[in-house]
Amino acid sequence: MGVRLHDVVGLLVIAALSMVAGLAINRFSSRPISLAYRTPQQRLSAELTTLINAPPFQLADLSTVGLDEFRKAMQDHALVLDARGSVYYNEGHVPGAMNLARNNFANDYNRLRPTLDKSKDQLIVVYCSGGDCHDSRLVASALLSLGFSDVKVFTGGWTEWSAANLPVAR
Amino acid sequence: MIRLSPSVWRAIDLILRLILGGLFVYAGWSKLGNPTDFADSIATFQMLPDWLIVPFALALPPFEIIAGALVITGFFRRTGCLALIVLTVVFSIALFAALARGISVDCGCFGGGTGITAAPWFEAIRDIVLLAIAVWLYRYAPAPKIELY
Repeated sequence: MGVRLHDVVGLLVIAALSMVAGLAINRFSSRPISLAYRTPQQRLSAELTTLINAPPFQLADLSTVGLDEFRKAMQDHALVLDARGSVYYNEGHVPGAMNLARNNFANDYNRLRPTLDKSKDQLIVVYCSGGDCHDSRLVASALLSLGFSDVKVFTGGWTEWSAANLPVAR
Repeated sequence: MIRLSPSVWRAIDLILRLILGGLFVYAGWSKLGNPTDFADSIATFQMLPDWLIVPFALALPPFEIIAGALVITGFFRRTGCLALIVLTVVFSIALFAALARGISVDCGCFGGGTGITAAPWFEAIRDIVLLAIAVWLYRYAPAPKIELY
């Protein structure tokens, strides 16, 4: 379609400017990120080692629950944890759920310590956005490695909960 | 081409530029504050080597904002349009490659990073529409205002 040479040169200039701008913004941001990519699991694992006596972390084989079983567990006073970031948690979550975010695990864990420590042998159910989200599995595995004995994942997550028109807490 | 008066063409041109450029400025802006989530989104496509993921996640938002701004303002508009054409083509290739390989991806187009995958066919259609607008804006500039009849 007749691309002109100086448009291509302009494109390369924009690309170079963007790279410089992106690196500069990251360098001076309040939370600069490392240029080497680490997966969510690697980041959570690194964060876990900052917790006292945190054992090495592995993705565990987890038992999962469906919506009906999840609601029954809630009636039986299971501890419900929301593994999504705080932004999504604050927009709406399962009533009674506490926010143990995958992306802020060590902080949230320390904050929830008083409640969590009482629930070492109690049923804990973790959820995230649903669909293919992995955050609930990562958080549940981390809890297992921290010595919690009965941790399950509600796979339908927030998507299934909100689609079923169930109560929402904000 | 359809016969419309130059002022109508200029209006259509402006509206298309605002839609296309505005969308990319918004998309870039919404990703700017959270490179970690965006890097995770890029990683779900399994296309880039690990060492390129973070640089790409850092450079793409400014690229979208700069190119979008050029298209909106009309300053170096063809360069801006070409940049958006390249972007939409790259996004489409990544999306279709992921669909073909059956990987579930998190597009991360407008921030996000929640793990929710929007309907891929919707993203595919959106990419094609955006590409069409960008190609149109690259090829046809309306006549300048000082045209004599």
